[in-house]
Amino acid sequence: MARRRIIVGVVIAAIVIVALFLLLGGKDSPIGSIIPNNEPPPPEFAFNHKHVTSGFEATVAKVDKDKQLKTAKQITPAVQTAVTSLLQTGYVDPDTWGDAGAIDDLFTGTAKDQVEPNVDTLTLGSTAADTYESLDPSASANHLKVIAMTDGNANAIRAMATFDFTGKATQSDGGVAKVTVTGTLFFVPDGNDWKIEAFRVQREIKPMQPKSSATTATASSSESP
Amino acid sequence: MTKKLLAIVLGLSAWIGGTMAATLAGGGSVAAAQPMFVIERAHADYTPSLDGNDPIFILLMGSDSRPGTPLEKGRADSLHILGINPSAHRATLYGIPRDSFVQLSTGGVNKINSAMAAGGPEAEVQTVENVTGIQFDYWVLTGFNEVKTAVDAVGGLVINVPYTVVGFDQTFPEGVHRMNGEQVLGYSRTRHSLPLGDFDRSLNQGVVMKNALTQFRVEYAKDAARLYTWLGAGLRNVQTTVPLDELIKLAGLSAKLPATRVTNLVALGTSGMVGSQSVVHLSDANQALWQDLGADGYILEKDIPATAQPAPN
Repeated sequence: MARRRIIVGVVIAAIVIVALFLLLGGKDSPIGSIIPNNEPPPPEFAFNHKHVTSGFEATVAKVDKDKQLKTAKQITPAVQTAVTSLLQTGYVDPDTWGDAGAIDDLFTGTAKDQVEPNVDTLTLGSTAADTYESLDPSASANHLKVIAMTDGNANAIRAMATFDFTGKATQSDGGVAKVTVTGTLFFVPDGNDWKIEAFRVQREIKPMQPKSSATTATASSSESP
Repeated sequence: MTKKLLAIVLGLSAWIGGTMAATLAGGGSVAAAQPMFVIERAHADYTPSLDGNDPIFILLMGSDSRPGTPLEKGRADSLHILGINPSAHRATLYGIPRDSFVQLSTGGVNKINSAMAAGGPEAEVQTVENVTGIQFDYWVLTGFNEVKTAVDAVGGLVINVPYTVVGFDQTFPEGVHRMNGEQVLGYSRTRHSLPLGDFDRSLNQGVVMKNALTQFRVEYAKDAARLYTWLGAGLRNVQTTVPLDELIKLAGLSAKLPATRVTNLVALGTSGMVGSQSVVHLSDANQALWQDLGADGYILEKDIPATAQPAPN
């Protein structure tokens, strides 16, 4: 009799464990693919058009500056699209945090091989989903400056984009962190697109201090390579 | 035994249940109880760089053409062999006095600088190749006004003057100075007050180039966008066969190439007269150094004869 009760108990416990796994396993759980996902889609990031500027760096001495600037303005939307895509895929969309494959099409040449080793900076990070649930980009705190390197015929032969981007990341535990990404990206033309051939990107994640614990909070700093 | 098993299973269930309750309650986790205001910073940096064991040679030429005359129609009054070994992260600047009396690729024996006036940059390159045995991958040609304009475009150069130099219309005291384009040109052209005249002038031009490298490295490390400022300033003021791809890779290499790894020397030789011309007879001792340079793109300072590098002051 006692033995039967034990067996029943073990079976019930096993069922409870399996049920908990299915319910709490998140979107990757087996049941997650059956139950419709009611999560809202990630926000769409876009640079504030007032904060997008263009310029040029001529490679020959005597140029028509108006023509050179016109070229810079013409290529700015394509470069802007690439930078926006990097920030949207790498930072705003939780599904592609830490996913080098999702952004490496934006890169070219030897820079393509550098995406994977730098994925924790070029995106929110491969373990970001352990801490954060979403990232909401600031609608105003972003800037983009596109510089076209131009030849004597006012053709854009290279381009450089300097940008800053700010967003608010919501943590799984309800906390909030301010994410700031700044950088300089160097582009080469690739058909109608522009691809990244070199980059320097800095990222800072700064937890925002809850008002209630403002007097007890302590600050420290760490840096990853 | 069975009781123990039951206790473990029930304990596990209780732990999972408790965790679930805490999660559903929206807080109360251990992490939340210990606020961690840690600012996390990360940095990603990549610029394509020259690589490999094969040395790269560039002939740097400064034309004496005056305004209104094309650079390539002038004489190559400043001549430097730039050898680079990407994998060794070493480079060498080997100055050649303009008055070096040599066989020209355009025919005849004359001062080495006259080959460009006779046949353009390619003839000058061919002449230096014949004299040194070094085969050049590229050449760069600039001039007086171009140097001034380029230096001003990057905001001046910080030059560590190794010894006081009395120039044509100003003195450059020993020490670190930020010079504008006019001053850099004046410092680079001065020779009459220098102990070894044209040899020292060539060495000082190497000093300017090494200081420019140091400054570029500092500025590029602080702000990657400075790459375009320097590239633009340079390209607008030179004629060159170096492709833009290679220039960007050179910039990438500069991060691994501090000026301390760049050897600066001038060819050995003696001054003399040929007819009414003041000339330099290059020493046979240069051949061993050119072979060394040609083999791997650099010469270590320890391998330079003491007489080859004039001591400052």
